[in-house]
Amino acid sequence: MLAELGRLAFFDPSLSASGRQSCASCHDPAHAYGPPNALAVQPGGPDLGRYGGRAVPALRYLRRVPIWTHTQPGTFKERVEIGDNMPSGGYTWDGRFDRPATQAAFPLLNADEMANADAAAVAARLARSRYAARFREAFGTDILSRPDDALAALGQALERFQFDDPSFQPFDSKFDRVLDGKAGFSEQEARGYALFVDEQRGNCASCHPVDKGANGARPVFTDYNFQTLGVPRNAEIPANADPHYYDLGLCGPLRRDKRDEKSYCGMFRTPTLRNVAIRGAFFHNGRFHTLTDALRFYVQRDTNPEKWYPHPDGPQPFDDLPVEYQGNVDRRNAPMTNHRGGKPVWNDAEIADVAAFLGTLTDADARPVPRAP
Amino acid sequence: MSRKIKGAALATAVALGLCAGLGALVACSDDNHDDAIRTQQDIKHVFVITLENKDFEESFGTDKPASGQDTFLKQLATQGALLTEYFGTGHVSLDNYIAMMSGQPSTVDTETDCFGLWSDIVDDGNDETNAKVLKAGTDANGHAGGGCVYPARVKTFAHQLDAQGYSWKGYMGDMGNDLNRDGTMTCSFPTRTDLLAHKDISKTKDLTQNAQAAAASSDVKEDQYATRHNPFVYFHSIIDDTDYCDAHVVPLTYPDASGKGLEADLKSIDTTPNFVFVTPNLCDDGHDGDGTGAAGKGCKNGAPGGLASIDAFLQKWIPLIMASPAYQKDGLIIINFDESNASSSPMTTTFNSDYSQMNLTINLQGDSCCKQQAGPNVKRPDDQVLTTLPVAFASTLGIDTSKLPPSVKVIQIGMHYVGVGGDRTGAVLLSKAIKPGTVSYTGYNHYSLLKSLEDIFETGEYLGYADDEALLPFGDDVFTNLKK
Ligand code: HEC
Ligand code: HEC
Repeated sequence: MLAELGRLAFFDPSLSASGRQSCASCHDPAHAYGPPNALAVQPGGPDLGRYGGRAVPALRYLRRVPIWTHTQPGTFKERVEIGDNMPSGGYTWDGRFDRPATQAAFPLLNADEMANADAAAVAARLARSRYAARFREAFGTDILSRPDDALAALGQALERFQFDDPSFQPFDSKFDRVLDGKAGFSEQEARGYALFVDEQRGNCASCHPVDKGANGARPVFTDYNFQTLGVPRNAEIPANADPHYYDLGLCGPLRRDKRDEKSYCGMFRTPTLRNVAIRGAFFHNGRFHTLTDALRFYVQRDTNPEKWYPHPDGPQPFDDLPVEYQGNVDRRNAPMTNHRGGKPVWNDAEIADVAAFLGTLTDADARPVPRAP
Repeated sequence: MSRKIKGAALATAVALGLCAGLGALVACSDDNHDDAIRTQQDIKHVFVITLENKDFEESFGTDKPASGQDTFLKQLATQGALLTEYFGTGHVSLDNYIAMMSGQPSTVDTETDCFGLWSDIVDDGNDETNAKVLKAGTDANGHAGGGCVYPARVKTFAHQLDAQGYSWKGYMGDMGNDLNRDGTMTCSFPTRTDLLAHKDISKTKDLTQNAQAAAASSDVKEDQYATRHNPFVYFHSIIDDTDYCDAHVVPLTYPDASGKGLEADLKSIDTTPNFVFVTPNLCDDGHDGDGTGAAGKGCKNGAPGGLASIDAFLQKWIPLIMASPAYQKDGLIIINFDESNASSSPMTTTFNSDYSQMNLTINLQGDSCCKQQAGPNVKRPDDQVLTTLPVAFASTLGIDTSKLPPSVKVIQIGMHYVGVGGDRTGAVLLSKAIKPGTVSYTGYNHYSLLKSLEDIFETGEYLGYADDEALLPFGDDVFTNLKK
């Protein structure tokens, strides 16, 4: 069975150059297949001495990720009318893979992650694995002598595991029980929920939708759209030591096919908020280490920019975006429509309420990561 | 099989590989005197296919960038009648569809596609100058002359057909592909969908404005149905009786395994409705994408969209319809466009005093024909501010930012409505009652279409603005091959 092969590979550290890192090292099932610690970015590479550039997402609830698209009406008037018609979909923070099967090669070959030199190295490691025979059985006896096909086959198996194994979509959080009428929110959670969906005072649900689909699909708290939130630069990421390096998400440099689309620079795909409360690193660059700080950033980004950015009055107020892309930052969607000195839509007690509500999105088995030291 | 079709037309039909589907059928049925069409009223099967947002010069001309994308449609135009002076009745989409099926003019919300809302039209009585036109009151959103869904007393062409004992169906591309999005496979509309999702319907929005791409897991289905291109669900007189609506407003091709849909219904005369209204999905109707096939310029399903996808759609469906017994016996196909793409008149730009804001105005020429009136709910000329965008977004809208003063930070986009119409789009009619190569220069619009349909099916009454003396129904200039 393909999913079973995928499971074996997912937990197999021998597939990495270090011999010590599997997919599960970064995507730990004990933490909803998210990172096991509060580091902004995880170690990897041949001797686990290198670091990636982005926070590790949890792999639960990704079956509904649509393929990446940005479709525009043919006429200018309708393009404007449907002005919130954002790019959407695709796996990873920049949506560069349409399915997990093609995504899998990336960590396997990335020098900062599992660090195989090439497909042949992966095939050689597969050939030495204890499931090599089953792999040949599933994909043909000569599969491991065809490295590119072997890598693709491994991707398929990993995809089947992530799609089919029930541990990737348990839907057994308190929120799900509330949805099913089997539990009730506490007073604080209910207040937090109300703020989360309030279009005037949070508007979170406009990008992180909370409703069931008409055919019963449970909400996964993302519309998969891309937005530029202007999250502050994170000095904890080694690559950021170079002042000329910027992770611009959808427009690159990791993603290569949209480099010319200026409006895409700074955009990242909206993540699911299921299991967000167990995390110790938030947003694409892991800039915040508590949920409270992440929420405070939303409501105070514009009212108190000095809290978040070193030079809020300079030409580059949003410090993780080059000057020419400052205008890309979302100021159209509440709560990011506030102004300097304005009253944040939530006070600290309300932030705590929303955090409590987000806590109801934690699956029954998902444990919080140890706090950052 | 005898072929009477004249040299040039036959040659092109053969070149297109369509002889059996197109040229031959038109020609062959000529010989079948039992089914001769002597008057328009002998036509018993009408197929309307409404496409999106193209200027006449794009669809039927030669000198626009997109003009080369629809060779099939251009060939079809030579097989029947090309109505060179056919006009849309509004901008944007929705008001055009409503005009075709009810004769009602725009409200301030239908003229913007009921974008981001879904409200009832408040019955404010009839227009003083035309008792057949409903005056829209102030709707739940506080929009004077606004609202989307007509009160039950407003009747449509569908009801006229019912009264005459004629059958009808609206076939909607992709409707129900993803039930989490569309709610139901038949008769899908936003409040019905929201009720199924247990949502508060006082806040209902039309969430089918943007097409949806599929997920690799297939948990999410590709779905390019757009409610705003489905006229039938904007009438309480249709949607309040869900059984009735479910039986009549159906998917073009059922997304389940039933095999149902227009293709199946075309198999026999018994199963082919007398009136068929086809709304292709947002890609097939040319709404999405630019038709070039360039990466990132296409539809949610990767097809090029624009006139190229229109052409592919017609290449599939026109031969199917033409091969159907109903069409061959007494059929008429009408291919029209809801409106132009409003590209003909230049946009105007002004700047504020410190050059930090550019004001971009889309001039909607809104050319019309036939003394079209604005009706009681909207005014012309009119100005509306649509949105204010950071300058960085300009390039996604196709604005060349390199030519702008560097001080510009935001672009305010507004619309200036000049006229009331939807500009000249042209239309194509196909039938054995029409000689290949027919070209009409008479002014027509969506209200004339309705008036003509009412004539053909002898409804005995003209609805809304179809009841206008100045308005001509399709006449002998179009039906050039009636057997005397
Ligand atoms: C060294 C840590 C690390 C390892 C090992 C790792 N990943 Fe990841 N994973 C990440 C990071 C970081 C991202 C975000 C990447 C990006 O946005 O470019 C990610 C993203 C993903 C995504 C996309 C999630 C989404 O929200 O779209 C999938 C699927 C995934 N990884 C699967 C795997 C599989 C399968 C393996 C093993 C073959 C693996 N990962 C190994 C760090 C890791
Ligand atoms: C305009 C769309 C939009 C709105 C509105 C929005 N978000 Fe987000 N959210 C995003 C995007 C996009 C990201 C990822 C951005 C990044 O990493 O650069 C994100 C990330 C997050 C994260 C981090 C998740 C993680 O796994 O790291 C949290 C927490 C979050 N949002 C909560 C909220 C809350 C609470 C609100 C309401 C105050 C809200 N969001 C409103 C789009 C939105």
